[in-house]
Amino acid sequence: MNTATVVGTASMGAKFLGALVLTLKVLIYLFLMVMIGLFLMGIYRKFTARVQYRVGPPIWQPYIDVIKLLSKKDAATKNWVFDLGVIMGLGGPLALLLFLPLDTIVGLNFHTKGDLILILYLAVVGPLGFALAASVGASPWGAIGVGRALSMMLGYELPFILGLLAVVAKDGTLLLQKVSAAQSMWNPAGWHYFQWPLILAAIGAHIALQGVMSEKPFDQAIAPHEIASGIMVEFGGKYLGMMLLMKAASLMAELGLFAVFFLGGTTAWDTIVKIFALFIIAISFDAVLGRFRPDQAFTVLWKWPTIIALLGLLLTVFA
Amino acid sequence: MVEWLKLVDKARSRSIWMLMYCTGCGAMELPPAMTSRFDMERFGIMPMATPRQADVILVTGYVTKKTLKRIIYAYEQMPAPKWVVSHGSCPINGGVYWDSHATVNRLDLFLPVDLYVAGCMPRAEANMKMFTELMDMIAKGEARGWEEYVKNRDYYKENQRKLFGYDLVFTDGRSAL
Amino acid sequence: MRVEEVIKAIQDKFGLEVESPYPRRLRVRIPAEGKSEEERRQMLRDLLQYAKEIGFQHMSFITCVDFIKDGRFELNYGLWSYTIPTMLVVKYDLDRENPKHITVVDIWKPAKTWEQEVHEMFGVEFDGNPRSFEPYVLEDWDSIPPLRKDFDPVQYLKEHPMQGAGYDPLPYVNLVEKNLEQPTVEETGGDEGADS
Repeated sequence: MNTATVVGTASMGAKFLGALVLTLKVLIYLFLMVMIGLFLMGIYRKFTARVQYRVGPPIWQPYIDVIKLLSKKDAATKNWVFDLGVIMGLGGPLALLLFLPLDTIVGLNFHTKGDLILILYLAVVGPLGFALAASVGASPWGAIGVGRALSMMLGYELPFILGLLAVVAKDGTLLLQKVSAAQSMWNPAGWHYFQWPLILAAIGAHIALQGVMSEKPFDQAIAPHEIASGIMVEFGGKYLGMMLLMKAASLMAELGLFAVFFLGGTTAWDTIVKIFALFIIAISFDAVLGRFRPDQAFTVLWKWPTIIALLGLLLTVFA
Repeated sequence: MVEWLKLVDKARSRSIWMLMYCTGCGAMELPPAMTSRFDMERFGIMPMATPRQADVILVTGYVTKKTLKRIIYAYEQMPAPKWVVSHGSCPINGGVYWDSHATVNRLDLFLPVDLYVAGCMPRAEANMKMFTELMDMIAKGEARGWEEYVKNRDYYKENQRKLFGYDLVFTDGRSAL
Repeated sequence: MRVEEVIKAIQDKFGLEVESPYPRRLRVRIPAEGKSEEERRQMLRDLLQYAKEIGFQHMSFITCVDFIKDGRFELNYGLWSYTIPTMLVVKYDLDRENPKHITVVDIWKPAKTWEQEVHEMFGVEFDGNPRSFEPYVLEDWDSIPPLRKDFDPVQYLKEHPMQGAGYDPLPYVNLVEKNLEQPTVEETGGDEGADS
């Protein structure tokens, strides 16, 4: 009896220790991902500045911005829906990050449980959270931004999911782990991106990815010159800092998802390298393109990327 | 704690976001400071679209009675470590518009001004000098206008009441501070 | 239609002298003598209507000039044509003591705003334009219209010391004491502008 109790407590202690280690690992992993995401944003600002023939800020500028924003006092108290929306907005991409194969970087293996349906649900939690918070704010620009963000979401989700579905049809699985295992790590011929007919789906999804990341020409929701930064109009101080962190996390999550599906991101480190490459391509287009009107953007997204991705999907299924 | 505050002050000085709200003619000198000739983004200074996101409000030129109301609204919406820069001679004593029926001659009676740039207009070089000066002041913790505004609330509110003839009331019925 | 034809048409139809002080500019004055107020107003409206019909598409401005020695206001209606292309300015004199006039909003819609501005800056009342009695740019205005020649801005600023504080010819303001070490206006002498 006594021994059983002792064994029970010992196992409880071990469980507690295990949970603690797991929590620490998760925290370290998410912290690392957000830091890499902020570094990407630093690259973005430097890159854009160089394209515009400027010196540009130092590459660690986003870290400074986040420290400054989180140290600010907030001028006005908001209601609890606003706070909840911001937490939801930050939580969505962080949860999504856990189910990408990147988590092997600290020895986690959540990604074995991550399938496409779960990830597609988690992917909209972040934008919806911020849309919720922005629609609570009093500014009419916020409402316009929310309307644009939701319609854009409808626009880019269709081609993006069609592209991913083509991969699912090819590999016959929804699990991310198996999708990445079906590709080679560094040989481009083994990537889904360069296999016929998946290349069509990949191109469609890649155009839609520009909208997923809300880079130009699909950044209608946060257009600072038209609608005073849209959904971010009521965010200031700590809220804006949270929004920057959310942006960093969702950059990693979205690019990571694309890399796993099309560029054979089989391990954590090579996925991160591919994320960098994808990001450089995205910001090259962002730096030189203008912005569509919302109706134009919607039409474009539902026309070309959708047609190409649908063609890829049909060819994959029937050919 | 002190070191931490120093770090925070340093971060604040290297990341000044200014409100894209300009009065009068001084806004004309900001595009050269923003674009590739002087490029203020290398100091982390960026224009921001709304008062909620901004740290510093530049009063770039004459202040009319009507505009001042909007400036005060915008200033009180900004989150707390915030600074006011009076730009040009008009906000100092009225400048060439000193006897206009519309302008308010002295800005610092109504808002705590941290830094003045004299000139009509200050050139982009003076703007860059102003920004580096402001960065130094923030890093050393000398620019405390926002604290002064809270401590001397009666003074500023009394002056505003005397100017407008009534209290400025926000739409939700309370002041933002 | 060419400029000479415009001049001739207006002369034939209204019997008014059209002068062209420099290229692309025509001036017509509705004569002040020999006609009743109603006839002159009707003539102005007919002229504006006619100008619209012969190709002046754009009402550029309605301004007012205060001739205080003559005791009159002069209203200028500026009509621009993109096809001729010429600016036609119609001048109309008003009694300064009793500046009442009629609106032309039913002919030219932009007049809604122009008349509002003229009413605020000069106090001319436009009968039939309800919006002209709303404030345009000045909020809480409590004096005579500010662009009249008998408006004295320095006197106005003396009556509104908070607005005029800070410049030498104007009196300094009595302020409540600040709590911190910032000097008040009395201590600095008031003319330095800065706190330090």
